[in-house]
Amino acid sequence: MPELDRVIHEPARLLIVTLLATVEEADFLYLLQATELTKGNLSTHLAKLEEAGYVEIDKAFRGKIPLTLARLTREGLDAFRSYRKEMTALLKVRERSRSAARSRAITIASQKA
Amino acid sequence: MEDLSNSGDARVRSLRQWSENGFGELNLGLLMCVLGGIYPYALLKVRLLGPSYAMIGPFLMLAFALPFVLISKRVLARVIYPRTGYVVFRPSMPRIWFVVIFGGLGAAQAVALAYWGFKLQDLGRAAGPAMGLFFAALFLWGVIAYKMPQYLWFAGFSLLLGAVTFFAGSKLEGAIWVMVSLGVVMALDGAFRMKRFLRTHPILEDHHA
Repeated sequence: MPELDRVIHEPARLLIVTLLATVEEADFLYLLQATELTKGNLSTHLAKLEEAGYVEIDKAFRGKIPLTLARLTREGLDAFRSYRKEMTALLKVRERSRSAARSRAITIASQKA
Repeated sequence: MEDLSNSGDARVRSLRQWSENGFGELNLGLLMCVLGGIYPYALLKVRLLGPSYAMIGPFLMLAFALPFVLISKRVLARVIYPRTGYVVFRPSMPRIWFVVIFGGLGAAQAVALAYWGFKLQDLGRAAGPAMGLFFAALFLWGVIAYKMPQYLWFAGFSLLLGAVTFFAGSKLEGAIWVMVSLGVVMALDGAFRMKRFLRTHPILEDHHA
C-alpha cells in the first residue's frame, strides 16, 4: 500500500495545492475566493505548506496595495505529482476490490438460486 | 472517494470561473478589430508602393499587438484583480511553443506576401473561408479543452462568416471581413459579460495572511 503525504492529504491543503498547481502564482485574495476557506484557515494551511517547503510566500506591493503572493515550489509540485500517482494507485486498488466483491456476490447469489 | 487532486479539472474549473469576467473576449475581440483594420492599410501600401511593402502588414500587427498587451495588463490590474484577486494561470503549453508557432506563422506570412504579393489575390476567394475555418477550429478547441460552450456560438459564427464571404465572391478582403466581424461580436459579448461581472462582483476589501 503506498504511503500518502500527510501534509498534502489534508482536504483544505489538498485544495490549495491543487489550485496552486494550475497557476504560476496567485494572491491571498484569489485563494480565499477559490477555496472558500476562512482567512484564518487559509493562513494556517499556507503557513504549514510553507513550513514543509511546498509553497513559497512573497509579501509584495503593487503600487500602494500590499499583496501576499503564493506559488508552488519545485518540491511542492513534485510532492503533489507523487501524491496524485499514489492516490490514483489507491483508487485503482479500491476499484479492483470493489469489482471482485461484486463478482463474489453474483457468484453466491447464482449458487443460492 | 473523490479524487480532489485532479489538477486538470481544477484548471478547467478555475479558467471557466475566470472567463466569467468577459475580459478575454473583449480583449481578443478588440485586438482582432485593430489587426483586421491594419491589413487594408498594408494592402493599400502594396498597391501604391509595390509587393515588397506587403511585409509591412505583419510588422504593423506586431507593433500594435505589443502596446495592446501592456494596456490590457493595466486594465486587469485596475478592474479585474481587485474583484477576483491576482492570479497568473500556467499556460496550456510552454511559452516558447507559442513564440515558435505564432512567430513562424507571422514570418511565413511576411515571406509569402513579399514573394507573391499580388498573386495571392488570385487565391483570394479562399481567404475568407480559410480564416473562418481557422477561427472555428480555435473556438472548437476552446469548447473541448476548457468546456466553454459559449465558444460554440463563435465557432458557428466564424463558419457562417467564411461561407458568406465565399458566396459574396470576396477576395483577400474576405479574410479581413471575417476577422473584423468576429472581433466586433467577441468584443460586444465580452463587454456585456464584463458589465454583468462588474455589477455582481464589487471591489473586495484587501485580505492578507
